[in-house]
Amino acid sequence: MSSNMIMLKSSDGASFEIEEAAARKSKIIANMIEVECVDEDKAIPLQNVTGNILALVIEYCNKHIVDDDDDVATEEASEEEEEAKKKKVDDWEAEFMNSMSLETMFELLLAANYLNIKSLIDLVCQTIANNIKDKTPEEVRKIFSIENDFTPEEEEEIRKENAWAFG
Amino acid sequence: MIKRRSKIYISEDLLIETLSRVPAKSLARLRSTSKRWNLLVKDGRFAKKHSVNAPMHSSLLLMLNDFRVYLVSLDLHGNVTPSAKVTSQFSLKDPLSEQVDIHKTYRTLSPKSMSLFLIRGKVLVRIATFGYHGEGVVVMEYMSRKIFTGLGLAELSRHMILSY
Repeated sequence: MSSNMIMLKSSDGASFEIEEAAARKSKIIANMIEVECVDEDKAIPLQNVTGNILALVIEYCNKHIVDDDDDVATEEASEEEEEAKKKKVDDWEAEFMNSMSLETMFELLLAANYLNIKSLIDLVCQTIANNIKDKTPEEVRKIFSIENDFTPEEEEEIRKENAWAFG
Repeated sequence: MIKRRSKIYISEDLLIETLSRVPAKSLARLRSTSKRWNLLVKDGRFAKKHSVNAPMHSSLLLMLNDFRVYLVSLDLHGNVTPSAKVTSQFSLKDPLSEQVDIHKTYRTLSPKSMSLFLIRGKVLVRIATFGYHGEGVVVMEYMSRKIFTGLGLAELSRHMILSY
């Protein structure tokens, strides 16, 4: 396993060192490594990601690269071990997401999308989905900064159509 | 990254990715959030993605017992314990008001739709097909209005909501 270190630089100028294996979680960075765009002495500038969000992304990548290594090392692990390991990752992810505000989640989602880290996009989308599923349309409008563009009549009509879901 | 009044604005793709993970019932409620959301949720491509991503809280089973068909809502992922609940009972009456015995029901293999059949004489009759249609489980088609009326559409539609 390569333990090459890569430097990443956030939009607000903070530098982070990350193992190549962890950085490869990002398809964008993995591609840059493939085409040898990465200079060991130079940080990769990430203009769309602030330092506090990049720190979260790196925390996620570090956690998941360790888990991937484990998978290779213990190929013949029993089903119970596999399950225990999966539960450990799930618990970690739950706590990781639990520690941040909705606003941070949206920023993390944008960063994950920009860096193309599919599993992180899935995780954040699922967490936001869980968060809004029991909320009213009014509350959701606030969260997503959406203006209500229905006339009262139109809104009433749609609510009537979906009355079963308001029970 | 586009910011709007210091609030985060996410792209259509990410919005779809997120909403496709919201359970169908919540989604129906959230259709009145805005015109954009309403159109998005009604979109056929969205429904397809939703059927892959959204959690299935319960599934629908047909149970045949003593020549009667029962609709059973099965919840294997409940917060407390897995549960099975009989949500409605179908009885089929002939025009002559004779109770028709149902000997066997069959369901289609697709996890998103289900058909109810019965054997009448020697003929296999499909009574109804239920399916996911963006806002819950609805009847997609049925063979004959006469037979279906015998099933009691009103009673059926009241319970179908529970099935998703």
